[in-house]
Amino acid sequence: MTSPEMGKKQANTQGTRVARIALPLPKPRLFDYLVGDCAELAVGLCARVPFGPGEKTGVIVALDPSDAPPREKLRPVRELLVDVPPLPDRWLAMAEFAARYYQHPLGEVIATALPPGLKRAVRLPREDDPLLATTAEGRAALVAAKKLTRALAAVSLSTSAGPMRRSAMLEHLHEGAAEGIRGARSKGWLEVVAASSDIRMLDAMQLNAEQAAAVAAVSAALVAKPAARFESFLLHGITGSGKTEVYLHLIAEALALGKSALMLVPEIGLTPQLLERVAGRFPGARLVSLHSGLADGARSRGFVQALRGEADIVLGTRLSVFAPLPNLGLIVVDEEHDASFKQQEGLRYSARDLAVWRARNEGFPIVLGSATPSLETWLHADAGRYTRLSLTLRAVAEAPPAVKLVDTRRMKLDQGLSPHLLDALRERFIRGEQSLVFLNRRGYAPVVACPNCNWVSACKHCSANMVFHQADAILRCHHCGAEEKVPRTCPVCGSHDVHAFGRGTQRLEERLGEYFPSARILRVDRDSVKTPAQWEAVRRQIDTGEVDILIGTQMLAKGHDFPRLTLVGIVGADASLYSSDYRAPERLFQQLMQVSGRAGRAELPGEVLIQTEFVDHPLFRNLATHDFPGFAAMQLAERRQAGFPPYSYHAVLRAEAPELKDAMEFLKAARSSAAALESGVRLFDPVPMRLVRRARLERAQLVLEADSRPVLQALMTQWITLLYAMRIPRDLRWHLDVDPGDL
Amino acid sequence: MLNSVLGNAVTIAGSLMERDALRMTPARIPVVGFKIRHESLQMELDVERNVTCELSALAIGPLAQQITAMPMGVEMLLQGFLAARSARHQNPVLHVTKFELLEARNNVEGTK
Repeated sequence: MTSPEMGKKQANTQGTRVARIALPLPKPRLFDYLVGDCAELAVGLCARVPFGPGEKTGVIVALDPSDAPPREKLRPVRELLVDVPPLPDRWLAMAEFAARYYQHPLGEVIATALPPGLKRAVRLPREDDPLLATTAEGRAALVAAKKLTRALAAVSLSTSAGPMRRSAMLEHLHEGAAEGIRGARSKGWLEVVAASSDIRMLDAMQLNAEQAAAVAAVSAALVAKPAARFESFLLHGITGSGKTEVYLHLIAEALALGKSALMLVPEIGLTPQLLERVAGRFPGARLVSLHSGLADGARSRGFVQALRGEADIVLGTRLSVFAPLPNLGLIVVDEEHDASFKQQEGLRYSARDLAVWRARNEGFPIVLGSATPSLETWLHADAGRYTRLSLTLRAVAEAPPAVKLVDTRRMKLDQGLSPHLLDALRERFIRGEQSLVFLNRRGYAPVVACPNCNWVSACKHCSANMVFHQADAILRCHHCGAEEKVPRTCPVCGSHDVHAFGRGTQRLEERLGEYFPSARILRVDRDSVKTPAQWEAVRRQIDTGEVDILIGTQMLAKGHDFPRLTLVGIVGADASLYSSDYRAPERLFQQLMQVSGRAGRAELPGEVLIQTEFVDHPLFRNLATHDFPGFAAMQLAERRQAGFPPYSYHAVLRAEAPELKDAMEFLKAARSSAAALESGVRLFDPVPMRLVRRARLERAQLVLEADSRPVLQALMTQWITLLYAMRIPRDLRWHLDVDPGDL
Repeated sequence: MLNSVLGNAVTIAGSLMERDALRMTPARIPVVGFKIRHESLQMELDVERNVTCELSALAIGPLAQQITAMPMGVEMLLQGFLAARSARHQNPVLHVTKFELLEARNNVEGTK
């Protein structure tokens, strides 16, 4: 204690303060450090601190706490990131709420919410982000061009979309975007135009009466005096009813009030298309897009731009619910039912639910939009907690697509294709219209097997079969990613004649190619389209009519307009009807309704053919009559009877270990400790998970059910401390999932 | 049990009668299933008798392509071994390892 080293530290830390810091560690505790007093010191600042032999970055959540340990026991902060403003109190309040609600350590919540740059505490230079417009020379160069160079691509973008921020252009252009823009500016093709303070919307479309009523209802909450008021709206609009136009009008209103707006969308693929539309409408607004597909630097820049109050509109996926906009006035969640809003690892948060909490906490309206809302949201609207706004008119096409069921019970199918569907495809092909065959299964065939000895292509690490991908001649496990070459002969008996059983999109593509040799067939799934750039290229191909028959998974289902598409054929929908997950019918209905919505936009009437062996299933009947309210009422009645969410609340404790018995033992012990707490929570028995083995780990789960959230929360808050204190085998991992998406 | 090639060696002549479409295994090895009709005179208890039968057969690899190229009804002499149709259906199928055309007498051998 009297070493010179120690003395030096104490001398250095005189006149200093204590900072309580949330560090990204899997334990729910905060750490205290000494920090020199300075003008910038504030709660919400990022700090780099020594930790054990290394160092970590965290966020200051309190200063000079009354229960701080003696100063001589504390180590000093290494560095404060003062070039980035502190995270606002309201932002920290949201992080604290998420930590509490999802029973997750605050430091990890914050680490999830922060972009990688801030997490590593790198310096983020303030970037010049000028508004760029095409010059006369630029226009001339574009006309004269024989080849689209990178510079010309930038010029072309600003010519078609109007003046654009450099950051927005970088988002849009792919390879070599920065050089392209630099080149175009040095050639005088692009010029910096004054960033007008004008953030009004251009080309506002005339709203129909329903749209106008929806805008008026939300506006009332936006402009309420003395301050905006919290209200949750459910915008239930059938496909093609113009929900996006309502969002854009509301964003314009929020901007006009001097507020910023946050719009959450489901998946990466949606962002470039929407970004273009939003950027085109609000050329003067500072638009930031945040999604996990962004490079680390771009994501950090966008986050800091929002934090500095230099973003008017943030458009992004799940994680952008954490965008630290200091002056937020509106949140829109598009396709609010989408499963991608729920994170499936680490902090298992629902971005939609957090967004509602955030709107309430900060006092502004939130709009949840969908053609097929989640049953949770629908029930909130039924109960009057959310205000329901309905759009029932198709803004673009005249009539909704005709949905027909093809009874496949007594039919000979060819690779899952009925003669009806093949005839309908032929008809569209002859007429020069586009068709989509929807099959939600990637790969060529879901399993390879040997009829001689019954060998199947099981994954070595999972209780699942490896899927045959013919394009790469490999077997791949869709659960753990393991790959191996497809065997020449059966690995057990040596027979050459192994078979691929069942079908995925690749096999459908092959068969349709044999039926329609002159048709241009394009398969769109996660194997064929991996990057946003590829997705853009595919979209352009579809838009310009370079495709006759599309084969796709749910990737194609979501909110993309394909004006030439008039036929949707649905293959293999029945598989979901056999699922034991109580949410399966809801998901199937949402998926089929979405994919049906692709048919018949613009002027051409659409048709949807659903192949099924269950033509009398009420789900299909509701689908055929486009009756979501009817479907929701039926499902809610079933859920009420079974006592499932949204009539009860679930949390699930999952455990995984190399051996199932360890996971089960842990869950049994956990169950006893929960039972001893004597709450009103119903504790199920620990059971192995449906996919027991995944990536060499065996998994089990324990479901908790309660009639109210507070009852469930009260139990979990006590229980989690006991769980952290439990002695567990070294190779066992557990997590708690609140409001789980799958059981 | 004679657990070797010798314990399961079949030589039989017949005409090509039914043939499936050529298909590929996942490893892109061609396979074709077909049937042959056999007719001959055989001695049984010192009596000559007529024999006819039909036999399912399977050719794999280059042989599959050669069989697919043959005209229907062609007479051939096949060599191979018997194997169950599948684990579930144990009736035998002749797996062809070598065949020659009887009219032309030109030998066609499977390459391994």
